[in-house]
Amino acid sequence: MTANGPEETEVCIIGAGLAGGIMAFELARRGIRVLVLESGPRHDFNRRFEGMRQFLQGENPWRTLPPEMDRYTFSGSVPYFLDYNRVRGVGGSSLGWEGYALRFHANDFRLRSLYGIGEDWPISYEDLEPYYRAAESALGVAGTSDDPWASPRSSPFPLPPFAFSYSDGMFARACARVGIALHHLPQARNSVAYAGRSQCRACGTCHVCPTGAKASVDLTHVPQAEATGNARVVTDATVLRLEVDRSNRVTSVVYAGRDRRERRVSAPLFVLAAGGVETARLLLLSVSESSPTGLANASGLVGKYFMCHPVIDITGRVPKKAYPYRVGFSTAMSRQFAVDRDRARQGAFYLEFLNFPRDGQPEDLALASGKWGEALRRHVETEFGHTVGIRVYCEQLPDPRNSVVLNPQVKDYFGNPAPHITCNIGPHERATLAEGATVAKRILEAMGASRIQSSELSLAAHQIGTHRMGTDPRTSVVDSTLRAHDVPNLYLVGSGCLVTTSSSPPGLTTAALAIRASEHIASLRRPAAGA
Amino acid sequence: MTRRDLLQAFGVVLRGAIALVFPACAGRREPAGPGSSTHPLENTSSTAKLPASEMENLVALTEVLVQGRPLSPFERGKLVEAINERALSEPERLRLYRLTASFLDQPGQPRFADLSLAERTEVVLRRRLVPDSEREESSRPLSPSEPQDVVRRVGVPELIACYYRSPAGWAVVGYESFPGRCSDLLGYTRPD
Repeated sequence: MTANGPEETEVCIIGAGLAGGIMAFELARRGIRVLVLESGPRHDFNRRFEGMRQFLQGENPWRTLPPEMDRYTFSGSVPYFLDYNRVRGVGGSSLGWEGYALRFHANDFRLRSLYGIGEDWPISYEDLEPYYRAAESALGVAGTSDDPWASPRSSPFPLPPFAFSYSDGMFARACARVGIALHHLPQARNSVAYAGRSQCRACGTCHVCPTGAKASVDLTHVPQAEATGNARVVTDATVLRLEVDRSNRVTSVVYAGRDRRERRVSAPLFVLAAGGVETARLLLLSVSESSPTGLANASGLVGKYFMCHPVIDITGRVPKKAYPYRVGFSTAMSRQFAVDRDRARQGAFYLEFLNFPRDGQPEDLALASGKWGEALRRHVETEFGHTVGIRVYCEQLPDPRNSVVLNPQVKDYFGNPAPHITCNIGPHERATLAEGATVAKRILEAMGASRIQSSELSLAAHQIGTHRMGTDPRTSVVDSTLRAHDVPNLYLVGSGCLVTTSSSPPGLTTAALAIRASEHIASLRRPAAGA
Repeated sequence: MTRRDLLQAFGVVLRGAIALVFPACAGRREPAGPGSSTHPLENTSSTAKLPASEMENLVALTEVLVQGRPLSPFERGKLVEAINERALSEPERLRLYRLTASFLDQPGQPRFADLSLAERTEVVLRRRLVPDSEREESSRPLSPSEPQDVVRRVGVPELIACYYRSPAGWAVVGYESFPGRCSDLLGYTRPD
């Protein structure tokens, strides 16, 4: 910190989650001085067993801040629970993610060209492939190349796949009968000890992994960044706004802790990595003479095209026991319906074969039965283990009406307007889910299942599209390097820069893009050899 | 719906019911104004533990509800552990447990926990505390001012859930490995 002025650094990163944590390491290891501002705490790894117990009690183990810091509102056809769908703190949402680490398919980057829907990305799968490889290595992705619909890889998975579960075998036989290919689900979770982290021990509470076998950047990147001596993380540092000069360059960020005292950091370059909702909100909060509608918002698209993944679960009762609930993640999936189809007419979805089906735990069976005493015990004993489930995970198309805006009626802890999220699920997605449900039902019927039913539609915990990338500044917010079109020293990373959702979770793609953006930023600093 | 959604949903439903019963506990606490009605257990300290006699009543009730027989020392231990953990995590639950435990004792009668299993079963039936699967009842609003309604529709399901999500409940279905217990990684691949 200078005598009375702002703290100075080379690159200021806002957010120590998946993208911010990775960038901190990637820049610091290249000798770039980085300061990371994180609004949450540094969650103590030694308290993860306590978090696991909280999770099992149905509580949010990652909520550690005053609720006023997490205020939000929502509207639309399906509620989006922001407070449960993101994590503040070092590690960010990677602390609570499921760890499913799928690459997008090459076709996912070209929806407009191939199918006339959505948008094309400004980069291709081939452009991103080396960074996918780097992200898989850094996070430790377990998998094998048995997915017939995967795009080409330049190297094998760094870790062997997790074995299929007992119920996967039942699903596989049924899938074979109805012509569906089941394959491994790649995941950023240690099937064997890797990179100083232990092998998974099947604790069943992956939202809080007590062993550290699931990759999260508080373990895989942030300590390594700090160990270089070039990175420093300031926790309890909520950024309130970004300030710009007359040429619309960011000069500083203003942040505050719980004492609400404002402090500043200045730097030649800033990276905003606060998640798809908070990044958009911070840009909209950062109004100035040159940016009256918010920073980096000349297109008017900041906060627009909010997307996640609509999800339904199809469950049924099978005659033979399936032995579920002994591992917290799924080990098998099918991308048969995610790639090779006319996606304008038939949306993309994948099937996840659940090792943790809904409504089948002893507690669920007991509460739903209406029985008591000896009859209740017999019911639980008899019924348990027969519930199986398939999750349908659907691509959501970009729609500008789905958005993140400021809600001036609701203020946060610092007096700033809270985010308001609008998420409507359109007819395309609903038709896709209906088809997915039909396919899942066919598989369950092939297993001899009875009592087949579908859950209500819900939304996965993803925040996509609110500062999407593109080549045209009129239709996108950042360019292919993730630099804001209209703010030359500001990079917006994280899942908000994804143009479309694919049907796959965004984590690995977000990580790959962060590595790519880091490489680009580092290249700006050093002249090319011989130049 | 993800697993996280499910857990959240259960938590929301239960907390919603408890908040309805103990409104001063839900969200921001406002000082009660003059003449405001206060629940008999409203002044319970949020850090108080469940007294042993009340815990005995809860265990005695749970025996009737979940097994219809006395619980083994293992089951009893796990149930007490689960109740204590949940009582400590949220003051609302502690209040619910205390209300349930005190409701079971009646003036001039032996303590509920001192009754035989058959006598306890008779009390449970007579006072209509057992789960009721009739649909019309589940749509009827909960009456926070009626302890019997609160115990039957919130307290009893809470105790059933407590038992069946504990290691004792998993043991009923033959599981030694279950969510929350780290174990052999390949256990999930086998039919045992």
